[in-house]
Amino acid sequence: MSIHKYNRLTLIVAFIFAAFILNAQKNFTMYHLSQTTQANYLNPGFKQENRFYINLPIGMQNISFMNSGFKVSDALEYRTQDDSLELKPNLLLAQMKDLNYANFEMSNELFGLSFKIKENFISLSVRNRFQTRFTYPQDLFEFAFEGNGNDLLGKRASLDGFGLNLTSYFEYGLGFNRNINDKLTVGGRIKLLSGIANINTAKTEFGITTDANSFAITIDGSSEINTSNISPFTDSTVSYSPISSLFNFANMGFGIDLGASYQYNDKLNFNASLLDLGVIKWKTNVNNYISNDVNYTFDGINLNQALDSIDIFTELSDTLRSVFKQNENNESYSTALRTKFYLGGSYKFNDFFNSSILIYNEIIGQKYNVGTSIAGNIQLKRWLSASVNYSIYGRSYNNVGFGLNLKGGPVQFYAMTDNILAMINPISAKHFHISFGMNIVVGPIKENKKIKQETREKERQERKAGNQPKVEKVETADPVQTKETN
Amino acid sequence: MNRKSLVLLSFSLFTLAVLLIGCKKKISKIANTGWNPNIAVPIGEATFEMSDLIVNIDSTFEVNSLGEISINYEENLDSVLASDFFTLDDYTENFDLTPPGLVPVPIFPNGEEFTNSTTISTSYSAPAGTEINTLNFNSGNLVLTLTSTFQHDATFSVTLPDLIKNGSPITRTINLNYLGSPTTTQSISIDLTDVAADFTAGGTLANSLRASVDATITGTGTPGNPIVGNEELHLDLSLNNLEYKNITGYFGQEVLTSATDSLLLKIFQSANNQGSLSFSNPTLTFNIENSFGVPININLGTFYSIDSITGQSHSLVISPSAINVNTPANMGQSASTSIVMNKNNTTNIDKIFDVNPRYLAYNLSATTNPAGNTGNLNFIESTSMMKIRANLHLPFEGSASGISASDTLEYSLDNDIDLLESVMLRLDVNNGFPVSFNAQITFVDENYNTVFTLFDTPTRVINGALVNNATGKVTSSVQKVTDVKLSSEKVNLLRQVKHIIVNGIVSTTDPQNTNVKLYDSYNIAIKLGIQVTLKN
Repeated sequence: MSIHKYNRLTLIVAFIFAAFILNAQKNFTMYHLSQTTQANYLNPGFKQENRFYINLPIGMQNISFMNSGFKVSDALEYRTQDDSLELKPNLLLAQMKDLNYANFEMSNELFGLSFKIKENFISLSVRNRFQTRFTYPQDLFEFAFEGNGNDLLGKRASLDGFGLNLTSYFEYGLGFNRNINDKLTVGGRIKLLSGIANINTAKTEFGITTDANSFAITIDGSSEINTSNISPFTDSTVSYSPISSLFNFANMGFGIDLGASYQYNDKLNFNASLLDLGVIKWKTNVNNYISNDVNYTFDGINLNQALDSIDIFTELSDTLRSVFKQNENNESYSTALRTKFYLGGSYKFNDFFNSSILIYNEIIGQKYNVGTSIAGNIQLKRWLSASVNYSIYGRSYNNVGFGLNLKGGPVQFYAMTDNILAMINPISAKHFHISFGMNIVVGPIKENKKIKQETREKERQERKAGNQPKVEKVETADPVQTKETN
Repeated sequence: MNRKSLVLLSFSLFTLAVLLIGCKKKISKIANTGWNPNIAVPIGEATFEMSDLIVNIDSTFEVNSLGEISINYEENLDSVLASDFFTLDDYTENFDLTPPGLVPVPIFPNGEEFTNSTTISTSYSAPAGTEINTLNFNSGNLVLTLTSTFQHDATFSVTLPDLIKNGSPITRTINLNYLGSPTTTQSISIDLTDVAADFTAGGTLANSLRASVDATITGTGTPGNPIVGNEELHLDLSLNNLEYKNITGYFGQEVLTSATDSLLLKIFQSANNQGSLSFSNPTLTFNIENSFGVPININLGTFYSIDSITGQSHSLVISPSAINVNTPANMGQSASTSIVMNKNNTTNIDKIFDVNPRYLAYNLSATTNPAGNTGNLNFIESTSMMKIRANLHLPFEGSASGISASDTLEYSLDNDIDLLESVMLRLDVNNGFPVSFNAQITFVDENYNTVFTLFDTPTRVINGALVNNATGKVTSSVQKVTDVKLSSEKVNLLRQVKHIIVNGIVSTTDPQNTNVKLYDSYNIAIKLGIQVTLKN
């Protein structure tokens, strides 16, 4: 195994552990700032005004961490006598649910291009997607922090659901967007996927029960874990280059995104999208680990054998090896993408301020997660727009998002986070998220500009005549551009 | 302020407020960590059957067909062999065979002879008070030595009618040729192997052997070799190196053996002199195997238990103390005699084990022909012997109360205990024995000064199983969980500990009212766990 592979593995592990203390977001801010070109990734049905964009010099970079179980600050207890902190890991337990999860997600737009042909908006994209989800039961931490001799004595410490899911793949997308009429815009994207690596914890049902009287420890459960292209990280005899996955589609998958936006009236807009509906079939370097149903009780060493001078540790080792024997095979398997869908709506108070609400839904395996967000968005200038939002997700209630969208000529730059508090006080945050990028954007056609100039001249003349201006929405490439009319 | 500015201001204030709320006071100093996990793990488990336990205590346990457990102490009290009892000494006797009425003659003509025939009878010196009637020799020699002072040749013809070999009396002819010496001597040796001897002189005596001797003197006619009239003829008869196959007769009243010894009772080796112990049904059996054809009486002097700690002895009342041993009717046979002493024929056999006897001491003697010579012949063979064995059978049936035992273990702390806040050992015992166990463990320093004790007072760690009062048999096992806690203070004191003294006090279930029985089906299941609280 090359040093690079070890480094990559180390990086992955570091990210996984980072997910414990940081958080993840679902691009609420970008969805609220829908005029950002890359918001099309979140809803391919958003109405597109620009004629062309290309993600130069850098495409969208999106990184998020999320830990639903606790914040670092949850483990700290303030001590007034010396103005110091006491680290009490067991305090984390009160914050956890029975099952908790830590996510790390990364999306890198390697290539993005879109152009408009009449009313049809075509987009091409290549993205690197990396997603991990580490699911951990509360009892695991209780076992580690408090041991099995406190509350877990006489009970089953449940490790059901414990496991890691990791998916890394390249995504080739072909998008289409079209205004059906003045009110309705629909869009979709079909995606061809090339899997890089995967860990799929299909099943873990483990429990550790400590007998209250004898302290005998019973381990029960079973598990099934599928992996693809993980062995190159652990087995130097297996050669594998992740870069080759960019082109070879050895682990091929398909996915679709769908979206729609409906302008109910001048002020009210409804939108919805369904993302990442699809599967990847994993075929290369597959190792499936299946452990049969285990129910083993360790009562301590057999003292009778010890007195008979039998090598009890060898006996115990053989027993454990037999009990926890797992079957391995190399059969290909499929994993579903992390399907998610957004439901949103916005209300436009005036030309430069609107408020939007968003409900986020995610399905991972058989688990369903939901989050919600409400935002205030402003369009100060044509080149400056911003969003402040509040969101609830992953049992975290202190997430304040902030996003900024700047446009100078054809260059659009944006940076946003779903939880700016995590940057200010990271130990008190469950979520961390940042998204940024830069695009070359060509706006609406020049006829619009001409119409706009004529309109403005007309408004000016009307103001001179003493009439109050009246804001009227016009069809422009930029949805926040307005026209004042009498 | 226009509406746009108002919205902008509100937006800015909201953003600022959010940032301020997010900026909590940073406290960088973490003074301590509060991680004190409590780990509970099983150390081990064991199930001990009766056989597992008793083998470690004593190897003389027995299980009968009912599964009842008992101890058998078997001891060879004494063994008497024929060689210890009766041996044949060498014997020599001289007989004068000189012809009577010798008349001096200057020249005893050549070829002229005269003969003197006589019958002699020996009186073998058997041990005092004993009489030999018949004897079959295993080995030995009869030496006949003839001595003549005649200056002429002599011939002796000796016949031993009481010594029969191959069906015929032993007969020998001895020639003495005069060679000029004043005394002429000639000896012959007769092998007595497989010779049957009759010492009764034809049924009239004992210890007697007869011989008839014909002595013939033949003249040489040599001048200067007269018969002066004082010449003598003598016969020396010697019995040497005699070993018998068997003997009949009467062997007298002899003290066959007198022995003093003791039995070691291993089961009580570790016992302290505390508490009471009662075996309700002990049996002491004497087994005597005898192949002497002699009436024997054994006198059981005393049997008593000795408490080696106090030195006190507790004697067994034996009645009668004199025991007649069975004798075989014929040679080649053996007769057994068994004397059983139990609570039915003794008054206190169950009491001598109420103490903690480490030894059972005894003395005894055996005497032959206690009634004297009754006319019935005794017999003995070279292989005859008498073995006296004692068997103490102690069924585990009875009661015990407060029997204590102790042991001292070396101890040194090799492990780092800094991480230990406290330790709790959990002993989970499911006891199928009708025996309870109270324990105290004392941790002492190198001078055996107490550092601390595990319990404030000796604590019951094993409860005795429930017992049927009538049968003494266990009806159900009893579980008891004992937590042995070592506080942080005691954990720290472990550094001073060099020895651990374990004291145990054993009692049977309801010892005042119930005699319990031990069966081989009993077992005890022990589970040992540990619960440790760690500190950071």
